[in-house]
Amino acid sequence: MNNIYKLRLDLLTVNFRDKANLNKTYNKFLRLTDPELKELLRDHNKKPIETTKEVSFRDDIDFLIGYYSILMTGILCNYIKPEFSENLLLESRSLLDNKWVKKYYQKYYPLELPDMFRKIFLDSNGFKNNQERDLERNKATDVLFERFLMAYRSRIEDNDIDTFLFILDDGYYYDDEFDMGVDIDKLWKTLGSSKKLKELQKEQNSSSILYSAIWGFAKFVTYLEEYAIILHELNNDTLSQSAIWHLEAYWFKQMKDKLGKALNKGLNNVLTVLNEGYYVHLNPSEKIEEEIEKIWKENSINAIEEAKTNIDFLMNSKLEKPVKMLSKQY
Amino acid sequence: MNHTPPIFLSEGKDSTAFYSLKKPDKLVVFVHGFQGTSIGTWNNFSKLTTEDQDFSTTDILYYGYDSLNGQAYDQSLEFLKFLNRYSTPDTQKLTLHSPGKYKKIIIVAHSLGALVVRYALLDAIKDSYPWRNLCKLVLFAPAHNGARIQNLVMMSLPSFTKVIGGIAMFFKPILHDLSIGSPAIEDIRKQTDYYKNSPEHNLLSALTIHAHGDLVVQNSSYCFDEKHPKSPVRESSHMKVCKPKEDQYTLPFEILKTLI
Repeated sequence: MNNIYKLRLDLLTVNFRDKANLNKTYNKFLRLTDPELKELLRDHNKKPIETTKEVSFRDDIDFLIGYYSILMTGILCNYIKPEFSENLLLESRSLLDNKWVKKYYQKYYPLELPDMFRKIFLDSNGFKNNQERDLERNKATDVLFERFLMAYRSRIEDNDIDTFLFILDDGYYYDDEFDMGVDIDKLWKTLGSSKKLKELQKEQNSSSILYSAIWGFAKFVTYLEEYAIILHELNNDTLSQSAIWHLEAYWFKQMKDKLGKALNKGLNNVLTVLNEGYYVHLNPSEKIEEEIEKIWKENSINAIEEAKTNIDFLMNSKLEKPVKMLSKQY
Repeated sequence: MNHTPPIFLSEGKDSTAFYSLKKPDKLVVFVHGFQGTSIGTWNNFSKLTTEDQDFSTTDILYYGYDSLNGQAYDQSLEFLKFLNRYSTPDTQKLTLHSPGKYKKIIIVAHSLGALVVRYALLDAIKDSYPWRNLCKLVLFAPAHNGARIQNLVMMSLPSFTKVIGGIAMFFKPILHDLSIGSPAIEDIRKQTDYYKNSPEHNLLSALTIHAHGDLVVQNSSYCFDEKHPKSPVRESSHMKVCKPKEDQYTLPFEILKTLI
């Protein structure tokens, strides 16, 4: 049985560390001086992040901190044992205890999971598991946690979702190829106007940043649906439910108002276009049957309603509590 | 527990492996359709296959690709590379067991996946890949007779993506390939027919399962394919026909089980 836990830990490392080349990121982090780290890991609200180099380093650090969040979630879900190698603990100390990294995940962009990992493994005597769980229940959680990991991996590796989340988080792109600036306003205006969608069709600029953001929006909403389904299925295991919720806490908590409002605006804009009766006619030689049009419209309106319900559920602050309460014990 | 937890492969998009914890002697590869996802397209398959003892010595791979990017043939070249790479057990890195050889490779594809896989296998014949003799092809709602493009975009995309597909999809090259009577459809059929009376017949003869009244693809016989006795499946659809649902719709899983 212990081999299974070891295999799971190894595979979390293969999937979320080795594939992203996080050893390289850690070495890069070690080479930086204190003032360099202070500058690179600053609060973007005080001084915007402008250069590609800065964005790229912060992305890499996010992934490295994210790896510790995934390990912490694995422990809380009873998916792995709270036993790590000396090397990993040494690395976690130098990273998570670093003054500027700590400020980054505690103050500027507060995240519970890496902080909990630090408190448990660096400041306390390890994780105390008070929860007795029956095997069947744990098996169900294992399956749901793995299902989540697959969805999460798809979300973090998707370029379109990246484009969308970047502009959602106040980012701005200038698309040289199409001579066009793209920000969140531009996206919502396009999705809320059949005239603009028609223009997009005419130009056929499917390699544009705007088009990538449109699909990023669609894929992100679909990801949230899968996320909500998984969390609903974990209703009987509130600690695991809360731990998995915390993996995207930046979006569901820090960005709660912005994300909730923005997604609802996007969905309402799409609804307006649907109610205007707009859709693309891709193949002029193919007649569109009235029945198909009707079913698609009904399905689309339902999909928008479901998306709104899922977003409301994910923004529910109750989901953060079990982990927060446990964290206070350390 | 018969299999590893999911292992994320770097080939394709979101491709994932569940390796047998015993010495594997069979391989199943799943290939999704237009705008499907590596695992999502197949619903409960990953749970059912990893829990069933009959699959305990079977490695299971879910191949994913960005179906909007490129033509069907482009996708098939990538898939062929993938299939060639994984046609012998690849678990040495994890030191699960000593590498062996597969005795059987089952390729399961849905919709557009049928075009991608067929093109790849035709090239595997031309390039004389030895593993091709181990392969058996299973196709759910295959698009090898072509698809109604508008219905494909409006009816077959998952969840919220169908909304965006309906209002913002472009006529991409892959949609041209999927159109009824397209050069790609004709090319694959002509090449497949060429092997009718050859030893490659077994490789290209797929077991096909259609959905009764499929609104997306053209249901009809194809070259020398073998139709499953329960095909077309009633009270199903283009999207549902490949998705097993516990206690409700088990046919896809039963079919795979009989082949393994």
